[in-house]
Amino acid sequence: MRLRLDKSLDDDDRALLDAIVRHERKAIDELYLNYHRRLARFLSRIVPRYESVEEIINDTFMVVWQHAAKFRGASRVSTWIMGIAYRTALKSLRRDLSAATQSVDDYPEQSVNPMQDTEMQEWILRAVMHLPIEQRLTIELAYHMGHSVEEIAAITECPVGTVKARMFHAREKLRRYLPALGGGAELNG
Amino acid sequence: MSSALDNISEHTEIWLLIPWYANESLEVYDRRRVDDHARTCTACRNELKLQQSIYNLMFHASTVEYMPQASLRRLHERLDALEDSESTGVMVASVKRTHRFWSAPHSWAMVACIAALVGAVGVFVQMSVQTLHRPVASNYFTVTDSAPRINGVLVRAVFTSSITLTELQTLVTESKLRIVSGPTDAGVYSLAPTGAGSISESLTRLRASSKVRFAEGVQTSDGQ
Repeated sequence: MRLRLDKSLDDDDRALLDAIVRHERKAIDELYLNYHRRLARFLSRIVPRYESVEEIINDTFMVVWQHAAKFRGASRVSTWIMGIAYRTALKSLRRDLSAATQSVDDYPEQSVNPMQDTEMQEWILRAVMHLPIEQRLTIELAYHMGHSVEEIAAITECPVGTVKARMFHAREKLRRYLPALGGGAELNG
Repeated sequence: MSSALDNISEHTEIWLLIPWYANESLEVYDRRRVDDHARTCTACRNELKLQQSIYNLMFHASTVEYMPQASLRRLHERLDALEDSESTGVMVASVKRTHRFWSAPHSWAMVACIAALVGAVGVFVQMSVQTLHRPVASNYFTVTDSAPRINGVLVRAVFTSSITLTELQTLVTESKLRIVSGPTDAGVYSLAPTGAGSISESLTRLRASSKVRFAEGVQTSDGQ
């Protein structure tokens, strides 16, 4: 059922892309509104500023507008668009990465043992923000956006093994910085 | 010996698959492999519970709601600029070609004159057609227009550029407000009360924050 729904949505997206190749503004509007929420959800957790999220979304759709004809249909349209957003965000993050940004090794090892879900949620989100960029994006794509390992490989243009390795290292680093995880204690929830 | 190595290899593979078991995106075959292995492996079972908890916390974490119409308007502006620059590029290329033709020392000057004339007419016609085909005006509604379609009292606020998404969301929520539009090009947000508390309390809370540059209440009526 899900597959059929996905296929139907992808067919709709492909029709919109065809119209974009013909430079139909209504088509880019529709695609933009269809994807804005999903892209904002992904980007809002990996770029710190509200304005940057909007900027990356618009950069993504400028690429879609200019390169729609290059879409060969090897993946779903949604994967292609997420891939463009991923690479745009990656560039933005690398550009913004400065001395002001803490590396994971600077992250304070606080002896906090949060008991509440909300506190743990906040703590996890903060810890994720301090992972190296590729690991951070991988865990966001998997846990925040719910993508499969194959989808993440397509979005990030990496082999599946690389995605698994990034996730493995992300998990290990999170474990180091989350005391409740290190001791093998279970989280609430 | 071989069996022990196989077990280690299987354990490593299952360990790497656990996050995608947790987010329920594994194919049936791999899902069964994880199920079978976890029945006999305590470490993987514990890791599975842990990753499922992290996935649930991250997946259900709230995010800032965006108003796409405002940024769509900015995308249109960029697309307009792109089309303008492309049409300018076509015009410049035509002029250069004409110039080269005139400069060439050949005996077909008369032919060149005619060709240049035809080229110039062509450019003119092309520009005219492009002007006619350019969208006259956008017919969509943007919520960042100066007239939010909400009756009653609204708060207009401007935040510092350093405010983070989480801070913005927390501040707005704590002030018992919600974003109904914005930011405008000038960075102005329109905020409406969530129902609890008064506007003056909300304004006091906003103004107490160092992340707020400006906050004022405005009366709106008649849907304008």
